[in-house]
Amino acid sequence: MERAYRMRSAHTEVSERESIKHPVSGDAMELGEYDRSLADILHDKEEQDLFINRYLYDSNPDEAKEIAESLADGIILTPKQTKLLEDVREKYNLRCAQIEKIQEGMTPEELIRVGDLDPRIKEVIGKVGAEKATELLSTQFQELALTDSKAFNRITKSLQALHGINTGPAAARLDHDISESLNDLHISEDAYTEATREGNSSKTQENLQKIVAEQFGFFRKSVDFVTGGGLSHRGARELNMQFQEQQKLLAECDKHRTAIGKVLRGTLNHDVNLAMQKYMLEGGEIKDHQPKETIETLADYKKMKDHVQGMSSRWEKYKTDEKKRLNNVKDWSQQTAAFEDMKERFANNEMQDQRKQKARGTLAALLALLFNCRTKDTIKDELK
Amino acid sequence: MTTQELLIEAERIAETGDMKVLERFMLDRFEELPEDVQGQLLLNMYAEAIEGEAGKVAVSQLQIEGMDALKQIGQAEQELKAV
Repeated sequence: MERAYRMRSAHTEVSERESIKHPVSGDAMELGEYDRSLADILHDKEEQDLFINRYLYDSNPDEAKEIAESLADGIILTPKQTKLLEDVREKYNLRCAQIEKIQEGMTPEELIRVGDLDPRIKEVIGKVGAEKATELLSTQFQELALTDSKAFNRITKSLQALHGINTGPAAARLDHDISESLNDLHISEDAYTEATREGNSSKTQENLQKIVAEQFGFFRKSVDFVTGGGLSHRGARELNMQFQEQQKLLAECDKHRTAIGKVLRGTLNHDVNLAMQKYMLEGGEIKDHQPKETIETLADYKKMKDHVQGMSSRWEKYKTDEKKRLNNVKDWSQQTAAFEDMKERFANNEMQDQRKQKARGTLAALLALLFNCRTKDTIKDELK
Repeated sequence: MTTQELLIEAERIAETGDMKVLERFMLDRFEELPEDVQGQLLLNMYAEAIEGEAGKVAVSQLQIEGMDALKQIGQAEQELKAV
């Protein structure tokens, strides 16, 4: 009996180990030092901050806020809160192990290689050196991976696509071959001319995405028809094929060739090619209602900044509420510790709100610059 | 420039709406930026570079798949016509 239990336990262990995959290569990996209990995580202040204020906050801000406050006040967590933390703990441990694996691939050599693809990165390497640039990248990647799962998944997906593939001049040769084949088959790019007529407007992008989505569907069906047996296992090689069936099959070939040709023609058009890249990297379907960043435009940035600058009125309200909660404190000067504690809590709330703001591209850097000027200490200094 | 001065200048440029100019400003002043802003800027560029490259790879694979299918259709047609 004991032997049976041991075997079952060993099987479970193996199957759990096999279910943990390297985020880029897909090979089995182990959690190693990240196989931590909730107590391990909560007893380490820095780790607790990452777990609750970063990772949990990304998916469940309200609960994260409450739990952080309870822990700060030394209040015992409710069973519901403990269960939530236990549920998130496994995902958090896995994410930490994944981050480490990805960071292992972020070497100065790799960054130099990426710098060859992007002159801006090369410029940064020229300014601070490859070692320092890698350190900056790696640190920021960890922050992003814990606070923005969507962005983490996007980067991981790109790394997966690039894993083990050396890109190079072969692509240009492929474009040339496609162009020649399509000309021989008289497949034009009419479908795209209309879609790209309006230049780089959002309408054009929308049109292109629609075309890509539609044609990609036909493309897959056609490729399946050829490679998945629709063509090769039918009667093409059977000598006793009826004339009608032969004509039908020839017509089908023509239909599928046109569908494939249209997609291939699209790959030669810069705008369509970009729409295809986006389509494929985002999971193969066009999503109209993707979750958006909180800061997408300059107007969003200004609105958020106005909100930040309205801190004094939030502070006054917070003070009034706290005063009531603490049984109508009349003179804060007699309650220095309580006042300092209140400032600390308020500043924490402000920092949490700050972390909620997400942006992409240069706006994200502008946001980081703004928040760099607004730390917990500078917030507390403003509170009177 | 102090961080505050960098922010004021960056916001002034952002007002023009040209994010490329803003990015140029940040790259020119890279060494003066706080480390987390440097990291953010670098991570943006890194993500864009690898996303672009991954997209190219995906399209290349699709091209290979499509060309192969076209070739097979051509061969099958020849065989069908010869029946």
